[in-house]
Amino acid sequence: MSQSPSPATGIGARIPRRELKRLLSGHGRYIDDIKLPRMLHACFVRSPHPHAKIASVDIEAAKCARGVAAVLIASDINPRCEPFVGVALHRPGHRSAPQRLLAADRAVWQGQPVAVVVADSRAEAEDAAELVTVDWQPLPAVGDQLQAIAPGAPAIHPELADNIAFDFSLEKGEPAKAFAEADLVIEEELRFERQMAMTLEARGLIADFDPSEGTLTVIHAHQSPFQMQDVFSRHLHIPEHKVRVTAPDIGGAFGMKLNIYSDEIATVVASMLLGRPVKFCADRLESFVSDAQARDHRLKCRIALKRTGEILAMEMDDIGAVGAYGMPLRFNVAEGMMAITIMGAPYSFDNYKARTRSVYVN
Amino acid sequence: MSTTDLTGHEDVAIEATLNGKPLKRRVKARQHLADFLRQELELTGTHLGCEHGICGACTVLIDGRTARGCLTLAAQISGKSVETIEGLTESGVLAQLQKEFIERNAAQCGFCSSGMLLTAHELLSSGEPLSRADIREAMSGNMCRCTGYHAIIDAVEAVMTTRGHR
Amino acid sequence: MKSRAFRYIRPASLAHAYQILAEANGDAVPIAGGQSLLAGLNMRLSAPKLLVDIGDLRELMDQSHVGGVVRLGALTRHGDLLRSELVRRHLPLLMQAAPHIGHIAIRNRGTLGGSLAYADPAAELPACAVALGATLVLGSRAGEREVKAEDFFKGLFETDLRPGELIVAVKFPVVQNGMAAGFAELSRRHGDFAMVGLAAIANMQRDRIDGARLVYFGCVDRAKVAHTVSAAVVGLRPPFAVSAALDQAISQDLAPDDTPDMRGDTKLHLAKVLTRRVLDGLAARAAA
Repeated sequence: MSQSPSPATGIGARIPRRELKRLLSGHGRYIDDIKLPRMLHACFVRSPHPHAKIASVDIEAAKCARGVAAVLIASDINPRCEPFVGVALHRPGHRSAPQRLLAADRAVWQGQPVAVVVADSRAEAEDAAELVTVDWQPLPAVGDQLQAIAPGAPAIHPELADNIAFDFSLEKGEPAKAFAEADLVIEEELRFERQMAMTLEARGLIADFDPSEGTLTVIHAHQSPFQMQDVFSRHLHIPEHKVRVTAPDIGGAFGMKLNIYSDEIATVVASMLLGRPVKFCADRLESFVSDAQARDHRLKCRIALKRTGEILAMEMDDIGAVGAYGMPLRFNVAEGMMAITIMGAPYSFDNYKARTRSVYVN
Repeated sequence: MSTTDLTGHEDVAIEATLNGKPLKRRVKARQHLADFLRQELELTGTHLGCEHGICGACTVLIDGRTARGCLTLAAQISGKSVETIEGLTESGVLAQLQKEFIERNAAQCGFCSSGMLLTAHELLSSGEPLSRADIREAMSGNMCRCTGYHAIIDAVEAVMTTRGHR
Repeated sequence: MKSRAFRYIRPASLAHAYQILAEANGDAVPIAGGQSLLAGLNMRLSAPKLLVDIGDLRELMDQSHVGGVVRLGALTRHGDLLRSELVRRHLPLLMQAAPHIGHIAIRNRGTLGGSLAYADPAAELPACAVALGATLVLGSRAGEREVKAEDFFKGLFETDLRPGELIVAVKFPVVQNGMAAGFAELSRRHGDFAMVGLAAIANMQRDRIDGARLVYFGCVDRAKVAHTVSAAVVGLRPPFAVSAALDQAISQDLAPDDTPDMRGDTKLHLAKVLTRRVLDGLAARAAA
C-alpha cells in the first residue's frame, strides 16, 4: 500500500481478524464440538441405488440394538413436515416434484435417506443402521442430462411429464441471418464437470425441541440461520417466535451450507418426536452422496465472425443436470441463467440466441 | 497385560501422558484417539475432516511426532505421551507460529488450523534450514479448503527466519 | 465413519502374540501402525473381532548389518527408514522410495511389516522389497520361516502369510559396487497412492546396464519382477531413446485395467515414460 491508512475511517489499515486467536488455539466451537444435556445422535440409512423401489423396510433388529432411542421411517417423519417444492416463483414454468424428508416407496437419488437411527452415540447409531434391512428393487436410472432428455427417457417423477425442470430461451436481433452471412462460424461443445464444495467440516446441526414450551432451538452449521428459522417455522408448523437458530463456528461452507437438506430437517423432526436434543453430523463418506453439488453442464456454443474478427452473433445451448428435485430457495436455475445472460456481456455484437434447460437426473 | 489373556477386551485401561500431565482412564477399544480426546476429554481442538487419514485435521503429537488421531486407537497411546493443540498453546510452544498465522490471515474457517500448527511445529523443531519447497512438501499432508495455502507457508517461513534456521 | 466394535489386546511379548493369533482362529488381526487398517475399519470395510497390538514389541524393532545383509525389524517405521544410517549407506532404493509414502504423519506411524503384509499394489515398499531381492522372515507359534519377497506377493492384496503368522523382519542384501538404484512414482498429488511407479536395481558397467530388476507398482495387481523389460534393458546405455522393442517389452509385462480414475492404456503410457526416467536416473547415478 503506498498510502497510509485513513485515521478517520481506518480504510487501508491492516486489522488482524479478531476470531483468529480463538480459532488458532483450539477454541473454535464447531457443531460437533457442542454437547447438550441428554443429546442423542442421528445416523441415516441411505439408498445405495440411484433409483429403486422400496418394497419394505425392516427396523425391528435396529430398534433393539444397544443405545438406540428410536428408529424412524417415512411414516413417522414425513407427516410432521410440509413437503418442499423447490421452484423459483419468479421463473414461470419452473417445475419440481414435491420432496418429502425420507423416501417412502421409492428412492430417486443415491444417498437419499430412507430411515434414521437415533442413539446414545454416533457409533451405536451406525451399528444399528447396519441392522436396518431394506428390500431394494433397483429401477432403471437416468444418469446424465442427455439421457434425461432423450426421446423415450423415463420421467423420474411421473407427475411431471418429463425431466425438464426449466426451459428458458433468449433471442435478440437476427441470429439465424447473422450465422448464414458469417465469414467464419466456430462451434464448440463444452462440458463442465460436476463439482463439490468439499468443506473440511461436513454438514451438521443440533436440533433441540422442548415439548414443554413448544420451542425449537437449532444450532446449525448453516450460512443462513434466518432462512432456516423461517423454514423450520413454516414447514414444521411452529410459530416463528418459538424458533431460534444460531450458527456456531463453521468449518467451510462455500455455498453448499446454504441449502435445505432433508436429512437436517428430519433431524429436527426426530427431536420433536423424542423431546430431546438430536445431533446430526454428516461424515466424509456421507458428504459425497448427500451434499448439494454444483455445475454439471453440457453446452453447445457457436460464434459467427467476419474475417476482420468482428463478432456477428453468438449462440449457446446449455443443459444442466440438477439431481432429482428442485432445491428449495436455491432453485438450480441460476447457473444456466447466468451463463446465458452473461456470456455475451463483455462483447459488442447484436445477434444472440441462447437456451438453458435444467434437467432432473437420478 | 497378563500372558494368560488370549481374548482381549472391549474396554481397556490406559496410562499415558497427555499435554504433560498423567492420564489414567478406561477407553473403548473401538474408539480412535481423536474421538477419545474430543468426546471423553472434551478437547475439541482436534478436528475430524475425513476420518481416514487424508486431510490432517486430526493431527496430534505422539511421543513428539505428528500422527493422525483418526488412525490411532485410544488404546494404542498407553505408555506414550500425547500432545494436542490445547496443550501446545498453553505451554506457549506454538506462540510464534500462531502470531505469524494471525499476522498473515493464514486461517479462514480455522478447521484445518490445529493440524497445520502441529505439523509446522514438528517441522520447525528439527532446526533444519528448509526451502519453501521443503516446507510445502512437509505441510502437504494437511488440507485447507479456504486459504489457498500460501499464507500458511509464508507464516512457517517467517518463523523459520525469526529462529535463524536460515 | 465409526468402526464396528472389536476387542483389543496388547501382547506382552512376541510369543504371547503368536499364541493369541493361533488361538483366535482367523478372528484376530494384528495392528502395528494401523495406517491402512484403521482407515478400513473406520469405513467399515471389515469386521475383525480382535485387534492384537504388536506395535510395541521390541523383538520386531531391531536393525542390523551382518555379512552383507541389512536386517530391518517389521516395526521399522517409514520415517525411521529416512533417518537410518544403515539404510542411507546400504539401501539407497529405500531412501529414494520412503519420501513418497503418504505424508509425514503417516510415515511416523506406518511400518515396513505393515506395508508388506497389506500388499497394496500401489504401495512403494513391496515393489522395493522385490526389486532388492529381499527375504521376509515370518514367524508364528510353529516357528520361523523365510520367504523371498518375489514369492511372497501372490495376488491382489494377497500374500503368503499363513493364519497366525506375522512378518518379523526383512533381510535386504546390501547394494554392491556397480549397482545402482532407481525409483520414480506418478501420483495425482504428492502423497497420494501411486497411479504408476517403478522401483529398479541394476548392475551397471559404467553407464551400460548389465543386469536389472524392474518392479512396477500402481498399475499392477501385485509386486513382481517385470521379466521381459528387465531382460530388454540389458546392454542398453543412455540415451534411452524411444524404442519399439522396449515399449513392446513393457506392454508384455504390464496389462493394466481401466479403473475409474484412469484408462489402462494411459497407465501403460505413463509406465513407458517412467521407465525412461528411471533408466536415465540409473545411468546418472552410476556415472556419479
